[in-house]
Amino acid sequence: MRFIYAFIFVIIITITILSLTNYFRWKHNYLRQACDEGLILTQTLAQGSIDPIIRNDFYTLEEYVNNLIKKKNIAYVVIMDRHDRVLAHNSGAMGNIPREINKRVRGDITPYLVQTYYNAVLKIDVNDISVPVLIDSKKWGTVRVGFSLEYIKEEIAKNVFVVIVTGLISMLLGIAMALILTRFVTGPIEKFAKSMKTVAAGDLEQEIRMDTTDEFGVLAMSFNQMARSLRESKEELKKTYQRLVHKERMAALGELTARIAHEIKNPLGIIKGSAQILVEEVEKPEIKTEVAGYIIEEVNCLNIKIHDLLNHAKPKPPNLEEVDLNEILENRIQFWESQRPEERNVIIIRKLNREIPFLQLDKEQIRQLALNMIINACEAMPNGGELRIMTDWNSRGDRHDFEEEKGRGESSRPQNNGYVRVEFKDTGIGIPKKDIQKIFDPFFTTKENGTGLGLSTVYRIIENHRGKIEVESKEGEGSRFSIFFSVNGVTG
Amino acid sequence: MGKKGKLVLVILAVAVAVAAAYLYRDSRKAPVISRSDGEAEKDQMDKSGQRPIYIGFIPQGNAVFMVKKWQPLADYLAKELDMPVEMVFRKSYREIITALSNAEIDVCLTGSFVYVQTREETNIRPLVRRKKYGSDLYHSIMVVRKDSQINSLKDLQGKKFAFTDEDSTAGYLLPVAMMRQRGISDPERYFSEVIYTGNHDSALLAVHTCSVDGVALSTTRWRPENPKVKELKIIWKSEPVPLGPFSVRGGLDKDLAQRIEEAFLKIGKTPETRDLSDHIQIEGFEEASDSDYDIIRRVEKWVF
Repeated sequence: MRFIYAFIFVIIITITILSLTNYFRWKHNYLRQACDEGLILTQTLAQGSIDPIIRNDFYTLEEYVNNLIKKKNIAYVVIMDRHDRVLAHNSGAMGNIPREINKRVRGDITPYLVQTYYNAVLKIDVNDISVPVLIDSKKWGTVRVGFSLEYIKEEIAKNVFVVIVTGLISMLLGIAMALILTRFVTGPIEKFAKSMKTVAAGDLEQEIRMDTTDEFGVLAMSFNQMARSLRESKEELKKTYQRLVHKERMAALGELTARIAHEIKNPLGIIKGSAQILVEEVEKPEIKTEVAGYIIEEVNCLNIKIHDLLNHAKPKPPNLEEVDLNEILENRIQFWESQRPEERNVIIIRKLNREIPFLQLDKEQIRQLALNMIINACEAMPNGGELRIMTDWNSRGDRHDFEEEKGRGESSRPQNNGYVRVEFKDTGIGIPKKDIQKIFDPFFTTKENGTGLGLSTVYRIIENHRGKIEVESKEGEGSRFSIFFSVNGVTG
Repeated sequence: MGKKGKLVLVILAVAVAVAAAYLYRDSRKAPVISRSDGEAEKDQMDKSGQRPIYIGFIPQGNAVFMVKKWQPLADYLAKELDMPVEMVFRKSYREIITALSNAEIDVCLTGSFVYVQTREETNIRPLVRRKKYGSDLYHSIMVVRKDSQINSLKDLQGKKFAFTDEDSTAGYLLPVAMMRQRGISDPERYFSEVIYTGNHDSALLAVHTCSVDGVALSTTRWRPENPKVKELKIIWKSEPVPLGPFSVRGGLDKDLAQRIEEAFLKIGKTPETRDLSDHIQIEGFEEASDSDYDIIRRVEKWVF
C-alpha cells in the first residue's frame, strides 16, 4: 500500500516538474518571439521611412509615428536623421527615454540594437529596439521603437496562474485518489488481513461480509469457503481423533483387563491349588504349612498389585508442603537398601546438593516416586550395577541450563525462576529406541511379572506437581532419568 | 490517513507553495530578452568637427534611387576637397530657395527651369553642367503609343494627357510654351483630363499602360533599349535646351567654390574617375554660365 502512495506522490511531482519545465520553455520562446516580432516591426518601419527621411518629410514620418503609437504595446516611437536629430516622435517620447540607454546604433557594425530596461517614467518594462536606416551601408537615420513588455508579462502571469492551478489540481487529484484507494482497496484488504489473522490463530468461525460483486467479493467468498472447509476438516479430525482415542482406550482397557486377569489368574490358581491341597488329606503336615504360606504370599502379592492399581487409577491431588527432597531420597534409598540386603547387587551412589531449596511437594507421592525410580533402575540391572542419584539446583531460567556430569547448580541466592533437578542414572540394559516413547504408558513393561505401572505412576506424580521428566538411554550402557521441579511451582 | 500520510501532504503543500512563489516572482521580473546584438556608442560628433558641404537635390519619385545615384559623387567630392560632403533632399524648389537663403545647402542640382526660377530670388551661380554622351543639351518630347491613332498634337485634343511636374523644363515648360505659341491659350482645357505624374519614369509608364493617351517628358529618360519605349512613338520634339546645372550659393567662399568646380571638371577625364562618370551616366562635366539659360527665360515668357 505504501507503494501506491509513493507512486501517487511520484506522479504529482512529475506533473509539477513537467508543468514547470513547460512553463519556462514556453516563456523563453514567447519572449524570443515577442522580441523577433518587435524587431521585424521596427525594421519594416525603418524600411518605409527611408524615403521620407531623405526628403525631410516630417509630415509623413509623423503619420507613421501616430499610426504606430495606436498599437497597444508600443510605448514610444522616435525617428531621427543621420545626426540623431529627431524628425518625428510621439508626444513626450524624448522625455520618457532615460539617458543611459540613448545609444547610437552603428549601422556599419550591427543591424540593430536591443535594450531591455525598466522605464521609471512610464513605470513599465520596455524593450527598446533601434534600427539604422541604411542606403548602401551609409546611415541616413535611425528608427527607434519602445515596446511595452507589460502585455507579455500579463500573458506570462496568466500562464503562471495556469501552472499553479495545474499543480494544485494534480495535488488534489492525488489526495482524492489516495483517499479513494484507502476506502476501496486498502480498507477491505486490511479487513481481510485481520480476519485471516484470527483464522490463523485458530478461530475458524470467522466470516467476512463483502457486499460487492467485484474481486473483493469473490475473494471474500473464497475465503469463507476456505474457512468453512477448514472448520469441517477440524470437526472431522476431532471425531477421528476421538474415535482413535476411544479405540486406544478400549484397547488399553482390554489390555489392562487382560493383564489384570493374567496377574490375578496365576495367584488365584496357586491359591486355589493350595486350598485344594489343604482340603485334602495330606501325609506330611509341613506340606500344609508350606502351602498355607503360599496362599499368604500370593494374597500379599495380590494386595500389592491391587494397591498399585488403585494408586494408578485414582491419583490423589497433591497435598503440598515444604519438603526437603534430599531427605526423602535418602530415606527411600535406605529403605530399599534395608530390604533383602542379600539380594542387593546394585550400588547406590548419592550426590545430593545440600543447598537446594525446599520444594512444595506431596510427601507421600514423592516417596512413592523415589521408590519407583529406584526399583525401576534396579530391575534394569539384574546382574548388578551402579545407580547414581543426584540432585542440584539452577537459579536461572531454563532447565537446560544445567551443566553435564559435574553439573552443580550455581550457588547464589534463590530466585523465582529456578529449577531443582534430580537425576537417576543407571548402568543397566538400557531402553531400546522403539520403546522409549512408551515407557511411561500404563501397563507397559518388558519384565515378565511387572505391572507396568511403575514409571507410569512416576509420570502421573510428576504431572501432578507440574514438573518435567526427560529420558536418555543407550542399550547396553544404561539410562538416565532427569526430573525437574520448579522452585516457584510453574515449570517452563 | 496516518501520520506518514499527513507528513507527505505537508511536504507537498510546502513544495507547491515554494514553486508558486518562485513562479510569481519570476513572472513579475523584467523579462530579459537577450538579443541585444547591437553594439552601440555614445553620441558622437562627426570625427572631423568640420562643417560639411551640403549638396541639395530635388528628388522626383524614388529618393533612394537618387541617393544611390549621387552618393558616389558626394564621396568623391569629400575625398577631393578633404571635407565632409552630405546630400540633402528637398521636396520642391521653394524649399531649395529657403535652404539656400539659410545656407543650409551650398551646392544644388536643379533642372534648367528651376534654376531660372531660383535665380530670380537668390544669388546662386551655376558651376558646372552634365555632359551626356556627345551633348549637354536635351529636348522635350510628346509621346504616345505606337498603336494609337494619334500622330500629332491635334489628335490629342480632348484626350487624356500627362505632364510631369510644373517645375519641369521638359515635362511642362517647353510643351506648354509650344502650345501657347500655337495659339492654345489654356493647354489644360485643350485635353479632356490632365494629370501630373511627378516624374518622367511614371510618365513613361502612364502612357505605356494607356492610363493616359499622351505624355510630355524629357529625352534624358528616353532610352531605346527600354522595351516600353519600343511600343511608343514621339509625335513632337522641342528645340534643344541645356541640362540643369550644379549651382553654388552666392555666399559660398570663392576659393571653396573654385575647388569644387575643379573637382567636378575632373570627372570623366581621368582613369580613376571613369567608374564615377559611368555610374552617373555622363561623359563628364563642363563649365556653365548664367547666359546659357537665357533660352529658358525666353520660353518662360510664353508660359507665364
